[in-house]
Amino acid sequence: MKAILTRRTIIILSTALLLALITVVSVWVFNTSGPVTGFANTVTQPVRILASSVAQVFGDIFSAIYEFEALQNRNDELLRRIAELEAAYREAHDLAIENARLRALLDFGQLHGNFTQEMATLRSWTGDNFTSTFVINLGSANSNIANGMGVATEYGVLIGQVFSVGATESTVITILDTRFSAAAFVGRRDTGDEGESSVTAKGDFSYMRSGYLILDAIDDDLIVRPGDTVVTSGRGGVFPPGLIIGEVDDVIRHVNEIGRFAVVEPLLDIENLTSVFVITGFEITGD
Amino acid sequence: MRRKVLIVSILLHAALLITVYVFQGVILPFLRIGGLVPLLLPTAVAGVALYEGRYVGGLTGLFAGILCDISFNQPVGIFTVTLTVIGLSIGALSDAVILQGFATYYLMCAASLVICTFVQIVPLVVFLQIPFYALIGTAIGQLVYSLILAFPLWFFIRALGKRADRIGIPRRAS
Repeated sequence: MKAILTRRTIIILSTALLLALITVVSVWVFNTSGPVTGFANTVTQPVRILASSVAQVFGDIFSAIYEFEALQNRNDELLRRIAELEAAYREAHDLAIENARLRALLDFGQLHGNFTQEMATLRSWTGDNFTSTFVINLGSANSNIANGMGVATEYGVLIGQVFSVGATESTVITILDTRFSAAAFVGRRDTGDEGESSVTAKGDFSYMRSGYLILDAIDDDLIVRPGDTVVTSGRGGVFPPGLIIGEVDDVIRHVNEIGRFAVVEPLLDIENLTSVFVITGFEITGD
Repeated sequence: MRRKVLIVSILLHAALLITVYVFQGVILPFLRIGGLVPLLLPTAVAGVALYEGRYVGGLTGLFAGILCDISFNQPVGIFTVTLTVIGLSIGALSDAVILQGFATYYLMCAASLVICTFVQIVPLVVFLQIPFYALIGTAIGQLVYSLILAFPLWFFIRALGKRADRIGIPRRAS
């Protein structure tokens, strides 16, 4: 035992524990990622930026090779979509009501939500298979962003939420990550009540790698169909109302037959984003 | 002369770690297979520790852990400690008990990957209540993909180990 725990071994192990301890204290007490993480990020930043640019070029080449196949898939997808729309046409009345409600929701967000936002550029994606996060180029030193702020596109499509803020960069969890959840509106009540259709949109590990999230615990009297748009409700004050989360892909009953959940497809391919907007503040002026 | 040899050795190890980090953290996320990204840094630590002993292995684990935490977009901590312990442990085993060879390298890589995957999974199971069975498929996929890419890495790590032996960098504390 003495031969294993030599002075050098203890020094190396103590250094690792000390660095971890500094970070734990920073995260828990000061709510920042800490000086060690900040220093490590700063030192590796040039390498990551350079490598990311090179990787992006290879990614583009890779995409071009498979573009033909993607176009064929897209064509099949569009044909399927036409068939769905023909079926949907027969339900014109329901859709018209739902459309009016969603428009009202979007108008609500646009009219009453007073946004302030900052543009950010994506630096890198996580290499972790168990989470869905990316790093943006805004931090506490060069912006007003803070933990928990919403991240969206310029078209009001919700992408995720700021998870941790460093000095010059921050980590964002996407809407697919298991730690993400947001109050949302979808569908309508079969009682005809248009006002109350709130659900929780959240990341689910089983669907994360396929690029989907879920709406959990959907009430039985809430009518939700594939194609329904999911938008933030603004409840809880975390996200402004009216941000689009995605479109319902499927509605599934739980294995135990108690309750349903819906699988939601984001409106855009999150992994191909290059820039996003962090919503640094918003006001809801209407009641 | 001795100092120069040591500096070159440190630079070579740094180059290895940065290259592996760039592949793991930046390039391979663009080239996922089955939606998976391999874990390469733990295999690099296992290999270096096996061929160069506990001190080089421990230090490699320390820096690889910091890079691993960064590539996972999380604060420096959990992998810094985990990979340091892995580097020291495999290095100590290599100094005392196990032989250096391809089979041992793969065994050590597999062991370090299993430990790292366990470290990744535990918070999800404990804090987010994700059922273990939902994670096991991803864990196995990550392990297999990482072990496949551990093969080309072996040539570089073995070359570094041979160089260390040739120039006489001590494996143990004198």
